[in-house]
Amino acid sequence: MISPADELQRVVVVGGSVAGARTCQALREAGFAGELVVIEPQLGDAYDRPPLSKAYLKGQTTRDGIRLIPGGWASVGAQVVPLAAVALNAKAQSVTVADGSEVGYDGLVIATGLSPKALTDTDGHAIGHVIGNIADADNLRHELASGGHVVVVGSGYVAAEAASVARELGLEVTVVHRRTHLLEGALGAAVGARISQMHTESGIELRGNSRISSIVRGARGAQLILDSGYELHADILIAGLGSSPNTEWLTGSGVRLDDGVLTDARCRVVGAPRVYALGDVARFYDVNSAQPRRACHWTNAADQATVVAHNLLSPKDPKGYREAPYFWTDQLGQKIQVVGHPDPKAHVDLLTLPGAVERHVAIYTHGDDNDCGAVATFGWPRGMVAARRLMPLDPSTEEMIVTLEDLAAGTRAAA
Amino acid sequence: MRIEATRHLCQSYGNCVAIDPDHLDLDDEGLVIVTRDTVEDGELATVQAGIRSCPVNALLLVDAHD
Ligand SMILES: Cc1cc2nc3c(=O)[nH]c(=O)nc-3n(C[C@H](O)[C@H](O)[C@H](O)COP(=O)(O)OP(=O)(O)OC[C@H]3O[C@@H](n4cnc5c(N)ncnc54)[C@H](O)[C@@H]3O)c2cc1C
Ligand code: SF4
Repeated sequence: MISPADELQRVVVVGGSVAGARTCQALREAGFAGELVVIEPQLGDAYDRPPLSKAYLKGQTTRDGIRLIPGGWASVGAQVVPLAAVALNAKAQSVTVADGSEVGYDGLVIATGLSPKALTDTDGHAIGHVIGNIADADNLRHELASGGHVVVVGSGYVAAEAASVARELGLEVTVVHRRTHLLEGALGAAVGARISQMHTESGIELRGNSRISSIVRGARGAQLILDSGYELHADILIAGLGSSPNTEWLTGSGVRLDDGVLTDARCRVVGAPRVYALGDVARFYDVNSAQPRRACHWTNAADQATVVAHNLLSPKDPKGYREAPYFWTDQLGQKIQVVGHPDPKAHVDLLTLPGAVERHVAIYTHGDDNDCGAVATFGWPRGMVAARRLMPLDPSTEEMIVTLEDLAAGTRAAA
Repeated sequence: MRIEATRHLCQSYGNCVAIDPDHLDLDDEGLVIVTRDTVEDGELATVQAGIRSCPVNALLLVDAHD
């Protein structure tokens, strides 16, 4: 008898970043001995993304310091095709790459992630820096080194992190955004206000509730006019406007697209057999909320890689994916960690917990049943570990608060 | 097989502890500690997933005889 794993001779992974690299590692660790092909236009070994707007941008680490696979692609026996995928023929089980050649597969993994959105100037041309890949980060790092006034546009975590780094490097920084507070979209108004305050106290100028009316390119940087009529000059302009899924290459392939690649709760792509999608590009059926969702966080990509590798190797005994939502952001020397999906409308308790060291946390109560829906910790990784352990047990807000209070007071072990 | 942590690399993300609490924890400074370094039969897949979950490759699986 031939088991399905025996038929799986060649796995092709499109996109060699967090999701692609971790899938390759998981496949080998699960015993896959067949051919592994990675289609990825960015040359060199796989590198990590979060440091690009943090330590790497600041110049505190190098490309070698942010490798994703310690031994590189060769150590997982992956053959890299250094070109972009341009089409998928799901019936023929084949991917077309940029030079026109075809790469056939027995199993396909879609891990093409996102591309950041750029600003446009009055002439309709893209202007300013974005931070999506290492070349972007290198360009920006280089410009920051020559100094000047930095204007960051956006209120998400990449915008806030870029502003933090520029400020920590000693530059004048203004953030222009449409919300009232930084990170308000992701973390709600109460926590957003706290983070905005951190930025203001560090000397960053925040211009919230602002829209940009025009951007005129200058000899260096650009002149911006806001809808209020306020004008400012940016020597260095940075866009942190969010990103869109890299799915153009799948148009017309039969794969169902809806702001991402649609998958079921087992990371299987809807509309194409033997095809899986994961990471930032995948809109998976989320069993927690009973809705499709795209989770654009590091831990989601790494956790899904384990499920995809298992399901490729054991399609008759597939695993489901249950997201354990978690992400972090580093700003102005503070590590902010979040478990759960904060509902922007939730009631939020911002607490200072007494103990040998005072601890700052935000507890989100979702709905009317006093359910703890999310927790944010500020510079307290151990508190976050305790919150992440409790979260899958559907704690009440009170239970979460008592657990963290006891931990802060030293009357309870972390476990 | 034995788990080894390079503590100065640890960035306190806690991913490894979330996946593999039987071997790993954070100490008071928020840095990873290996609470049990031996890998029993049947634990390997979880241990490997915990190691892969580390964004900074601070954890390693080494041969017990090294
Ligand atoms: C600046 C920045 C900071 C971040 N900070 C945090 C953070 O603090 N915490 C957190 O949890 N998450 C953070 N993230 C998000 C995290 O990095 C992502 O969730 C993670 O990178 C997702 O990995 P991925 O492999 O799905 O996609 P990506 O990392 O986007 O990689 C996609 C890969 O696919 C390749 N590709 C695209 N199109 C094609 C094609 N047609 N053919 C072949 N290859 C293709 C690209 O070149 C790229 O290498 C950050 C992301 C960025 C960019
Ligand atoms: S996942 Fe890595 S960085 Fe995070 S706590 Fe574990 S060892 Fe440290």
